Amino acid sequence: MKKSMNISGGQMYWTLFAFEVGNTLLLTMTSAIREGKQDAWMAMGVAGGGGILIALIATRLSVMYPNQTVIEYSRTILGTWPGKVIVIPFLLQWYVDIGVIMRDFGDFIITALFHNTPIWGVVLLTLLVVVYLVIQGGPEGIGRCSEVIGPVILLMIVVLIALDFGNIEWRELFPVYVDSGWRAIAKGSTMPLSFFGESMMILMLTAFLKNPQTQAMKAVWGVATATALACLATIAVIATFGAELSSRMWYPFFSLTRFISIMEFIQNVDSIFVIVWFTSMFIKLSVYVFVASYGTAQWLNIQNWRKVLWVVAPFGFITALSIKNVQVDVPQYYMRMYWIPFVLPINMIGIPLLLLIIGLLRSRTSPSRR
Amino acid sequence: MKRRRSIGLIVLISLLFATGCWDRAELDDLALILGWGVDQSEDKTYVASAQIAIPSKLSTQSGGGSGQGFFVLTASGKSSLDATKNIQRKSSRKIYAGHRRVVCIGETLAKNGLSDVLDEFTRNPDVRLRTDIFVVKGNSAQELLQNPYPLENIPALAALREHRAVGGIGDSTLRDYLMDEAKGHSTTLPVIQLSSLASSQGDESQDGGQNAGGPLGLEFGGRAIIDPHSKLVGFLDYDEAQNAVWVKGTLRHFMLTTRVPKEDGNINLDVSRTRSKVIPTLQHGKVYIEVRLSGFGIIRENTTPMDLSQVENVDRAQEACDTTVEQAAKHVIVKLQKDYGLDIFGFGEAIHRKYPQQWKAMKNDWDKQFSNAVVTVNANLTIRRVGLTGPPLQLPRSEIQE
Repeated sequence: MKKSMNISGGQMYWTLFAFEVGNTLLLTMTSAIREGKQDAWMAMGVAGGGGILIALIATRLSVMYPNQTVIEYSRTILGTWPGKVIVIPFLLQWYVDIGVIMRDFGDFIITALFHNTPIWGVVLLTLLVVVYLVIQGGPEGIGRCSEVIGPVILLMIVVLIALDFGNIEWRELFPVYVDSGWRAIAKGSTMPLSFFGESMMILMLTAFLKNPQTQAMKAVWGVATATALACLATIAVIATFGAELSSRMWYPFFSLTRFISIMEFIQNVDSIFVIVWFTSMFIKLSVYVFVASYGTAQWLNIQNWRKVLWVVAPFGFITALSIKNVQVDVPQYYMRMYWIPFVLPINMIGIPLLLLIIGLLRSRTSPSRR
Repeated sequence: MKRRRSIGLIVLISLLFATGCWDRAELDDLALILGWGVDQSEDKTYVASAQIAIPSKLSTQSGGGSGQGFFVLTASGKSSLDATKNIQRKSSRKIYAGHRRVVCIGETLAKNGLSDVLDEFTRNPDVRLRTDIFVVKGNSAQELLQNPYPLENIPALAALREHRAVGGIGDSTLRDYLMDEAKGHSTTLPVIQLSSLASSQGDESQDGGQNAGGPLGLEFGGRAIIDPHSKLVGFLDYDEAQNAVWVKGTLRHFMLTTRVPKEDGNINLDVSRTRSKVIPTLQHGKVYIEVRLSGFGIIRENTTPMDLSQVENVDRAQEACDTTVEQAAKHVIVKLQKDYGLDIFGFGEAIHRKYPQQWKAMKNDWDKQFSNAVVTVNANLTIRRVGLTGPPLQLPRSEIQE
């Protein structure tokens, strides 16, 4: 089954790029600016660096077992039962986060474009497209989709930042470092890091590469590109609105695109950003839905992973609709009590690192295992 | 086969949603607000006025105009948006604020603090931050909005255009205002007032020239000083305002008329590319601020007998302009230091950037220290062109001074 679903290095690059960039731009900037003030771009950079590091760990680990996903090689490394137990946090994260991503997505679309459309309409339609892509294409479909969408996203973000150039006041970026200090920068970077850290999806995706040994590093470059854009966008936001004002906006980069006006002629380009975000979220959701379905199938030894999709998708739908208020509840409860204290240190850093260390030790003691 | 059936099902369900959109909003169903005014009456209720475009009048404009292209709806309420709700009761079409370009704040409301009416501007996703915001002097915002303006179908846009024409920043006023206020600084807002189109400034009586006769129009009236609690505390007249904005660094161009020492007559300089550089120095606990103003000028009028083809005459003219600018800028800075004790020039931010460590201790009573700061102004204008004639053509050769 797996052999029929191959992705190339380029597709991997664009998948990871599209996967990371949209959400980070929209949702993490406020918290970075709140802590890091005008040095929030450094916090973004630090977070991106952390994300790259996590991607490197995940890549290094996956390349050791080129044809297996993390669900499989965790068993190879730790033995059947410990291996099964250690990936439970992953499964939990995937299942829960599908709903949260979808709700974030739906709420933003409603806030930005369609005020009267019911949330379930937006969520359901999106989910149907995602399910279609995942059923039909699997990772190959996601990869090909990203290959088309990714460059468009990249171009649009660069264009948006370029269009904002006339509104920029460089002095808003000064003084550098003194107002924040490393503590504030580190604090500001936790939220973006918890988004960049989702690059640990590489653990599941590398197995589908045609040639993992040579192509796996492309994923890391995808994260790096997303980091560079997030830094640039943060600089643009702070230079346009100042640290104080932008730290009070939910979606500062979105506000920035709404503020663009060139000669009273190029205006209302915020719809471009909505497209950027929509497509980026689409890739992200697809990856999540695929990984959750495929992972569950492997975990429970179900032969046809597509059947699991019919559990994953409704579950995500219900989760998305059961959140009361995504702007307040998600940061207050989900992010603060689950995502940052548990997912970030355990799922993104702890487990991959643990597996890597044990895997390395094992391969050293008994090279024949590989 | 099974997969095909499931896909077919998905397609079918999708069709259900393709029948139309929930958010269909035809232009015919909307009342577009272009100008917006908020006043506060004595019992603290808010009175909102919406200047709404009449689409049919706008489109027949080329066919010879049929009445004014706008009308004004006014209603009161507990807040700005509550008043909007009551405006909606008077409107057959849905009130839509997405194209709101100009917001006028009544003087009474501004004095009581305008923070209450601004929340909506950043919260409502329909509304754009790119808005010009004015304080209305003399009249209520409602009266101002009801008054037609001959050149513009939507009179509120006249305010925005006048603001731009005098070298202001136009529709990023709201952003700049919010940036300053969010940092806890004082700032200024442009002032718009009703005045007679026909009478000159000199004729104006106390009530802004309304009794002078003739049709009323909008006049750009300088700037209003807003303290850190977003309350209006005073006004700067037009010349003071221009200089204050230049010092702050947001002026784009302006006209300078000055007397040349020892000459009988004036020089009129059209200054563009105006720049400002604020250099603070902290020494022995005292704040020294040097303001460097620069710009490039074209001489538009010369009523002195000077022959401007001579280098030394141009130098004299330039010197006279520099001195005038220095004095005028100094005057407005001192006025703010002595009369108000409010830093509207962004000097505090300049210190923040240059002395970030010391600023942490200073920022809490900055406005007090601002009053005691020693400010020097250096203007350095460059006269780039003198127009199409060197010596004044209208004078006989004997009167021209070489």
